[in-house]
Amino acid sequence: MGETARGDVIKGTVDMLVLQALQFGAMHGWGITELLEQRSESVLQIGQGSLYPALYRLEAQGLVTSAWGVSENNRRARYYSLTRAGRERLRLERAEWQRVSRAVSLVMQLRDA
Amino acid sequence: MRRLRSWFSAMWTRLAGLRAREARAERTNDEFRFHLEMLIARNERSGMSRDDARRAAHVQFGGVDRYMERARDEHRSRPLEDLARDTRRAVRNLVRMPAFTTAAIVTLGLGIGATTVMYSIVDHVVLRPLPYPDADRLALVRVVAQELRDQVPSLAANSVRFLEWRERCVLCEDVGAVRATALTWAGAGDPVQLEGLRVSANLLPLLGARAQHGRLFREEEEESGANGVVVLSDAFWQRELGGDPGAIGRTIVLNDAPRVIIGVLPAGFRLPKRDELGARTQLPDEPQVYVPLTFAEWELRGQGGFDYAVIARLDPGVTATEAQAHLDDLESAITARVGPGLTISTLVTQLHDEVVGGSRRGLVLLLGAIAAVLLLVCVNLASLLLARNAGRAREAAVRVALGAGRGRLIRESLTESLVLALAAGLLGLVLAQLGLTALLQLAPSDLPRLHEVRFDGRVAVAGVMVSLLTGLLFGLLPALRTGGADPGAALKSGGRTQSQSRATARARMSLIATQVALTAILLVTAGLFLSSFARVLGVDRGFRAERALALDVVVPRSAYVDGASLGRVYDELLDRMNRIPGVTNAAATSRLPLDGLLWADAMSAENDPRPSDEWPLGNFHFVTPDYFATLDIPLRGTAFTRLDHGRSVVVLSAHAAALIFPDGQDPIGRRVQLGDRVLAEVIGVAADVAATGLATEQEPIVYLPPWTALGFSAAASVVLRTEVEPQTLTATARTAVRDAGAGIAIARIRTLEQMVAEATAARRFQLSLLLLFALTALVTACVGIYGVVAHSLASRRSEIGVRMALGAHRSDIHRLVVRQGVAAAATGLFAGFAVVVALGRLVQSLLFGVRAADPAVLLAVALLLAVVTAAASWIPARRATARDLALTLRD
Repeated sequence: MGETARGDVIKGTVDMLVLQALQFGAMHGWGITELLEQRSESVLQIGQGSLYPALYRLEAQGLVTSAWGVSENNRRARYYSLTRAGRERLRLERAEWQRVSRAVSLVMQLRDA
Repeated sequence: MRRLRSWFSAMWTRLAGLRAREARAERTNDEFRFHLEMLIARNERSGMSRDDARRAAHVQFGGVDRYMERARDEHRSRPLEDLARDTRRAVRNLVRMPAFTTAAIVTLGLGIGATTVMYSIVDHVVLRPLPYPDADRLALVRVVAQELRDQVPSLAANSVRFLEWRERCVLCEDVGAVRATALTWAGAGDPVQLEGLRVSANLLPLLGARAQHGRLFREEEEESGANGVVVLSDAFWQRELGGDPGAIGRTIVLNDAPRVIIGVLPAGFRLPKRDELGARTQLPDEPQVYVPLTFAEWELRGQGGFDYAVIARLDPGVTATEAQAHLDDLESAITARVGPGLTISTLVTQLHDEVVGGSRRGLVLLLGAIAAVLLLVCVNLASLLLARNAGRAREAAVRVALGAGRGRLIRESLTESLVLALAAGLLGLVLAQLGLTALLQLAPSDLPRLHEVRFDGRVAVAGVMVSLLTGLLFGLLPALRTGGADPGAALKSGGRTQSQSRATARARMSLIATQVALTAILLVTAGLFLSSFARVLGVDRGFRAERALALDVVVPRSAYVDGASLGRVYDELLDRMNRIPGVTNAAATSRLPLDGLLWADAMSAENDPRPSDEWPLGNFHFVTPDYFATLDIPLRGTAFTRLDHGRSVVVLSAHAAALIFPDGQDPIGRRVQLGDRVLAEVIGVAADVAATGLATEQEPIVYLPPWTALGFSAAASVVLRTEVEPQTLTATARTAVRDAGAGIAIARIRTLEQMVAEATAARRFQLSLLLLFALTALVTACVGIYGVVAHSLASRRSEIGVRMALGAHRSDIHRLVVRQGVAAAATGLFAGFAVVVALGRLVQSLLFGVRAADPAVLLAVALLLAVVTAAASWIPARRATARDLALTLRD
């Protein structure tokens, strides 16, 4: 493993990241962590302790659904996929994130003039 | 809309989640297993050995259980599922201990049942407002005559006053009056005497009554000449006219006069009855008919008859005191109109207080008793649970060590208690339903508003509330103790430290003492009432009630023209009665003993210098010559006979004689003045008889022969002394009355024994209730003491084992345990007796002939409780020591 910043992922953004990961197709839990880790250049590492509670939470809220499937290595795995409500939530969360992060950037750009 | 749908699916998931718990757990396991394997695979790919990979994966994965728990938490709807799980476990635990569970449910169920019954009675009789609209504005108006104050504290209103009030009272919205009446109805078959009420036209509407068919009275129908109308009660209408709406408009003949039926009252409507309204003549329990009130000429002049119960509906916001002051102001105008007479002032009281007042004290006492029972049951159950939890201390300690939260343990204890309480509450409600039905059968008919008592929603809610409160109350105590268990101490061998043992022992003893104290209070109260009742029954009534039949009869107006002819009607009737085989004696009287008073007037010795309004009052009864023989009243001197006809003679009761001739001289042969009119010679002195009740002082009575100027009225009671059982002669007596041919109507037939029983009915009822509670308390205390002792022995097993190993015999252990139990009970007895003595004054007014701290009763209760406690301690002691010594020590 390379240098990683094993920082805590900000709570709340986990939901958004998971939704984003599922945007292009159904995936199982392991797949989601892999995707996020690779895409973020190993910065974002979500442990199963945060992932599965998030997945179950999203499922309870009706934003994702799940079903049994067969994995790449012929194992039984649970696949999650977005619902319409999930997509809508993702859109909202993305918009919110962009708004917030832009605001933070603006503030951080302040220098001693 | 979408949000609603997602909310629904979220809810659905939660609810579905409840049922799919098992499936979910399995699924989570599978998911995690998959994830773990993938993690191991990745570790291997990056170069680790199989074992290292696995170890690293596990470390990374962390304690699976914790995550599974947290993950599961996201799925379920926590509170519901926790409750379901706790309840299932609680039920399982309770079923595992049948003896404890049964004892707890039964005792608590009894307590709740008794509370609910008592509460429903008190609620309907005392607490609820009267069943009339705006009942708090209804007031009863009576008068007080200054001159008669000592003998008669208050009188019913008279005609003149009622009319003045109705017209002139500005603070009253309306004022109505009612009087009892009896009307002979020549319906189908024999003439029947109907109990009825004469009401002013506005009285029924004043009370909010509406006719269910037809209409009620109009004001003009109060005029004699226009008053040939009648309103029927629902009961009469159903029974006699078959509930036919076409009865409206038909005519029935009452007292030989036709009356048109104009309406029928609704089924539930009732006026307060009997002597609740203070009218001179008691109102009937179940009036059959209502007729308009008309005043005779003589009543509108002078004082009139003081026989009208007046009910006023006051204007909103007016108090009884204000109304009273206002009516007193009107007095002077009335006196100016009517002329001098008695000095009158008015007395206005809330109708609710009048109706309920007399019974309030007795009912409140019973309420106190029931509070005591409930408290006892709570203590009992707390002790049972406490004792049981002591045995589970070890289990609790282990669970605490394994990480179970204290909150969870408390929650589980609480759930157990609540399950018990609800089960007991259910049982209690069933018992209450049965008990209430039974009690209503038993209750004396003069318990006010008895007909309103029923088992309704409010009572059921009270029952469940009591059950839940009890559950919380005794659930908290053991739960807190369990939750506070120090795991280390509990796990040590033996299970408790020395100081803990002492504290527990003290707690146990105080529990026993409390239960004994409460039981003692109830037992003493019941004992006092039992003793009181026995004394009442033992009162010398002055007459013989066995083998006697009494018929209340009414002679119709058409059968006589004057006093003499009325007398002949009675003579003829008595002749016929005497000829009935099995009848040894027959007599008629204006009033039977214990049946109340009819007529009071002043009496004095001849030539008494005092003015007549200072003379003592006596009660005047008209009796035929055979009266004393028929009722077996001891008589000194002679009774009047037919030979005395025309002479002015009287017989005095002993008390009357003492009042008239305080110098103690023999009254026989001397003359007395009755009222202002009659002068008569005393020819006999009769023993006192109870006139108004068995527990009150015996009234002075003057017995007059029927031919005296005032004579019998048309209503009298005929008494028959029989050789055989009196009920068997009822039909024959009826026939004899019919054969007398005068159209005499029979109002009631009963045996004298029945009459006496009715007079004591209220006391008997109270006594039955108290005995019931006392018995419940005794049973509960027994169970409680047994439970406490049994479980204390269970936790003292090693102590007992050691004692026996050191040479103590079984009987020594028995003695020790019994002694400890009785010592605790003795403390409780002292406490209970102290309370009884302190509260004695409150109860005294309800007792007859018995002191509130009666030593015989106290001694009996002390002995009973000592024996019970000893037994309840001895039995578990015996069972504990019956076990094998080795087993005991090994534990």
